Amino acid sequence: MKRLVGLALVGLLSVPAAGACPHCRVQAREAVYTQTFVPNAALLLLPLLVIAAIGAALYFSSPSWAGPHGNQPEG
Amino acid sequence: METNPRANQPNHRPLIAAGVVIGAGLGGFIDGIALHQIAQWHNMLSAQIPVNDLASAKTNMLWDGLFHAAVWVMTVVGLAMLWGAGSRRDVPWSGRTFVGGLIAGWGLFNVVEGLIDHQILGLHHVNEYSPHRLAWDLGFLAFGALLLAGGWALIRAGKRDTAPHASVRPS
Repeated sequence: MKRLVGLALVGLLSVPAAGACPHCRVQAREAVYTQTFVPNAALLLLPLLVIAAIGAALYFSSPSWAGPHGNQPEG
Repeated sequence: METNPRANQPNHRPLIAAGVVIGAGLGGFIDGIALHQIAQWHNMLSAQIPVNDLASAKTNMLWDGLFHAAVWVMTVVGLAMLWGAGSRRDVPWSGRTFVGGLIAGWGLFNVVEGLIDHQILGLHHVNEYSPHRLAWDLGFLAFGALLLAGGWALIRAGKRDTAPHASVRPS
């Protein structure tokens, strides 16, 4: 019984979501996937590109001279 | 013959970098899930395309999806970096270093995203519907700076950890 009520609720609540404004979806896609999509995406993702560059620079940089306790190596 | 004194130096940087990249990716998910979707304080372009009808909501939702896809890729790249760091003898396997990197990465995400998207490009603000938008933006930046400082302190404490990962220890 609980399962039936649950399924009925899911079905009931899904109806407006599934049918919600199909032309709005098309309108949104047409607004986003234009000829300026790539520059727009690059601009939007700029913070992530900056962070990725910092991460890569850190990953591939050589270790600092300071030892595990902050001491300089002898010699 | 001279030996390279750097060869035997413990190198914490690959583990810090992996932590920073994963932390930034997870920080992006926290922003996207908590602020875009649950609290609905802003969306990716909500200062440029205000969410006032279904079409504008869907346009913002699409850009939110692209943002989530990008932070997912960032998290996966960070995991690959972590895998690489774990197989190196010169990288000490320190929980403090890694967690410090994660926290610093989250802070770095807030600071960089806050400066570029909120302040420079004006794509959205932390709380689009508040009359005190600038205060929320500055609070977001301050929280990011606090996370960066906390992560940095933990990374410094982890410099004392020198044991390599168990799988690459010499037998």
